[in-house]
Amino acid sequence: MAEAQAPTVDDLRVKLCYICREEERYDQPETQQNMSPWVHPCNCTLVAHESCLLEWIKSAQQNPSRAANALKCPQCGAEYEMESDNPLTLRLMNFANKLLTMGGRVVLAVNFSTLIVAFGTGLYIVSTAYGLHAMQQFLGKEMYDTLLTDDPNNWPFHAWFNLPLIPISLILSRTSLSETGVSALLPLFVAWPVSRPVGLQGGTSFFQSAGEKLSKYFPVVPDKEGPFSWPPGPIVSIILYGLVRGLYRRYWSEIAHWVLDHTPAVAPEGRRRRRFLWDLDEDGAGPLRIRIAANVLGERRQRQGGQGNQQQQQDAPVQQPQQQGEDQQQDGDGNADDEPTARYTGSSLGRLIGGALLIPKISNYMGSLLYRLSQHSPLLRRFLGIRLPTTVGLQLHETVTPAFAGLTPAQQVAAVSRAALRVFFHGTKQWSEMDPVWFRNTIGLGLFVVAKDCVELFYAWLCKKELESRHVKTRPFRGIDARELDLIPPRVAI
Amino acid sequence: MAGIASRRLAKELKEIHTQGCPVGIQLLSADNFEEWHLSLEVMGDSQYQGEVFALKFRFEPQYPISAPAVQFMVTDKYKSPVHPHVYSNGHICASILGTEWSPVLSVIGVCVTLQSMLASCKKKERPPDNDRYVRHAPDNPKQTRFHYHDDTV
Repeated sequence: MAEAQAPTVDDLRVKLCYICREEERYDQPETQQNMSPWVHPCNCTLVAHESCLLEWIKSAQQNPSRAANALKCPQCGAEYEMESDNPLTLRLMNFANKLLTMGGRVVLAVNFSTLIVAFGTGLYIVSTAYGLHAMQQFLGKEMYDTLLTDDPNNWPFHAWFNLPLIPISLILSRTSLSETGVSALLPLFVAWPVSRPVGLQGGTSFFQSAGEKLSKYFPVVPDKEGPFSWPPGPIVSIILYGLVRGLYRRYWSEIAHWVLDHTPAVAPEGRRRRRFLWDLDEDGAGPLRIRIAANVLGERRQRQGGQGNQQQQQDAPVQQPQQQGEDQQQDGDGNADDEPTARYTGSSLGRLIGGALLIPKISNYMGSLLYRLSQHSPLLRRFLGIRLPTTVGLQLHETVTPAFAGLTPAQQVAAVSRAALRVFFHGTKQWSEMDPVWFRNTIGLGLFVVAKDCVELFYAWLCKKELESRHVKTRPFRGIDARELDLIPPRVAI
Repeated sequence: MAGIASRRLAKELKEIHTQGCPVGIQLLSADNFEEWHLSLEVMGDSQYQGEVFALKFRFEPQYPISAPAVQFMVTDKYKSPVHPHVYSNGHICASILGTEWSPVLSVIGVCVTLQSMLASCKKKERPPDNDRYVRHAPDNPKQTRFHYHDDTV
């Protein structure tokens, strides 16, 4: 019975929002500028606009040091109760995200211990061993055995630089440095296209003449395929990869904005700087979701902001002050924090490193998936340029190579330049003749990245939907003396 | 949407003009909705008898969702109070200006809290890390991540 009698927020004569300090009188509701409903979320007399309160909660939850107070009444300390649509998919994805976060912590711990061990035995060896593993995953067994083998005695000299650089560049490629164009695949490719097979070398290399050595690097074979054969050679692939990646990133950020309904904003000059926080002992995964959405958006928006700024300066410099004003409002709507913050927590660092080191494995897995799929589609097989493993191809090239020394100097120059061009487009003999595992791995990795981005975007979209569907549960003024409240005078019963 | 900050600050200003400030607090200037100055004096028996301080409030467009940047002014006329939570450049280490900020607080509310912080001071001294902090302190105290030592002083 007491419940029925307890007045609610709608019974107040004057409602004063404790956040924006706007008030609304019961008899003239049209004076209210903010059309949001009113809530009384706690046990004391504070009331607020729901929109103001949600804004406050969102901004407080973004900051882990303030998150503890986000859902608490500042006056009576009562916990706010939230209601929102939280679909099963989002809960599952949240769970997966939490697992990844935990995994990230484990990876970080493992990495730290590895690092300590590595300094004992030499970081170099560990990195090299990892690089070797990565090459094997990426190139496929056959090409790996030809180019590198397990025996370090056979390695070409550049392997000693290339291999240990692989893990480092993989990790760097996932940080913001990758914006500058450092490609994850670069060390997997660099110098390998022009290296010759080590498996063949044997003891005879001692007696080979300089010309023969040269012709091994640049095999002078009749150009059957023309310069543009499929799949493209490794060097061309790197260039293509960079191009596709750049285009993809650009359009992806536009798609993300469109899906998440964020107009690309123009960031005022002073706000462009981003804070980097190292927060290694992050506690609680509660506000995680909001921070993810906010951070992802914050970063994307910033990047977009830079582009927008440039465009605008070209288009209409007069409009700028007005646009900036709009932007500040958008910032207020979306991210009430002062500056976009890139927060590196222990777990996110672990996720970053772990994810980076998994790249070769993933690309190998995706590559073999593509291979299996190609069994059913000739078109795909053609696209991936799948060949049967060749064991005779290498012998073949020995017989085709004419004696280099027997040519005239002009012929030699022509042959070498033709060969160099050929290496540029096709790679060396081994690259152009063997089953291009590396090519389908690259395509596979690309597909994986696209799929991963889609999942991430879907997650961010779900988070955003959840945020938008939030409501603060309003309570009646129970346990408060009705005389303390300024209630609407009860209507006289007729 | 003329900005939530200016509307709320206009209300606070109106309140100050109609109801006046609490004892010891006076509005020095509030010409815009970005920066206000107020003077602060500790009344009654305290370590700061006869001293008048000035507070500078800087507001962001998101005020009151985001806390105002509050510091003691250090000018020819005003000095920063010698207090274990106040640095000589005027920056204040108080949790209500950082993690404990809540929109229920207001300009006057912050002034009253700081007034009572000074009033309850037992011993006039600078924070232990004053020199180090002041050397590297940013212009805006909100960019500092304070560690709130204790709430007793």
